[in-house]
Amino acid sequence: MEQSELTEADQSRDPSAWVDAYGDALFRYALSRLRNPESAEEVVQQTFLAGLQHQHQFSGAGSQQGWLMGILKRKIIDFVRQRNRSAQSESQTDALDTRDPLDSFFDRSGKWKQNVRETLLEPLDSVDRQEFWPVFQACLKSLPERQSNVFMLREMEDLETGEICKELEISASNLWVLLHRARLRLANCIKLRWLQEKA
Amino acid sequence: MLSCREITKLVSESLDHPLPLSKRVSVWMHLSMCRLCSAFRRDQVVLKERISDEVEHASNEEMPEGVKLSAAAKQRIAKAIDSQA
Repeated sequence: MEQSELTEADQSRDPSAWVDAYGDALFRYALSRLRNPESAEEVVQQTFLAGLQHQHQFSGAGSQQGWLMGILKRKIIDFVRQRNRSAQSESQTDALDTRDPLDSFFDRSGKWKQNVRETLLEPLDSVDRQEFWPVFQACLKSLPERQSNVFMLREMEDLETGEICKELEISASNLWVLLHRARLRLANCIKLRWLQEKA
Repeated sequence: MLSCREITKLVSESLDHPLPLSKRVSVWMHLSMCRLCSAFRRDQVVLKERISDEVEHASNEEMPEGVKLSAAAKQRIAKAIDSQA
């Protein structure tokens, strides 16, 4: 038993064994952040290639997987920055459509709309712990690209808001708007889906 | 008086950084009277907690075990590594 663990550890220092040893774990992580299998595969590949290039920097302290995971996190941010840029230029076309998504939650006087109140009062905490994650993932995926990216970096990658602005080259006020929209919609979506499944 | 629409925006912001005192007071006063905005805040705190629990405790298992790199992707990536090695 101990022996086979040793061999495994030895193998994992060899880049050609990386894909088998760490591919799935890195892929799962990337998929939960990027929500798209092709994108996740792409960042995993970039991670391995960067790892290969900087292999001499791996001190051997800590696990190889942890080291690769650190690279992966960086690659995810870079990937999101690029994807955000293209989402931004796309959304400029519909900038003329000035309808604020918050309008589906609030009436003209700024009060909560009648039709969202019932769901709002249902506590999110009543959603089963086990079922929370898949429902959350599905809802995150249903958000517009820039909202989900910002939300993911803030809440899953735990980046400070200032860092997110810098990384994605967006203003603070833009960030607050995106985060707020994402939060309103996510809580609503999770509860709606959960209530639907339960029914 | 700020509307629910404006208050929820401040509540959302307060999850990421402390608000200036005057805004904090407005939010607090509004929430003490408005069960809808209070429900919004309650949910957002839960959402944050659940996500961070999941991310911390199951760092690689947020996706089901069955989620794996496809064989084709593995092959492609291994090839890319070999060509650079």
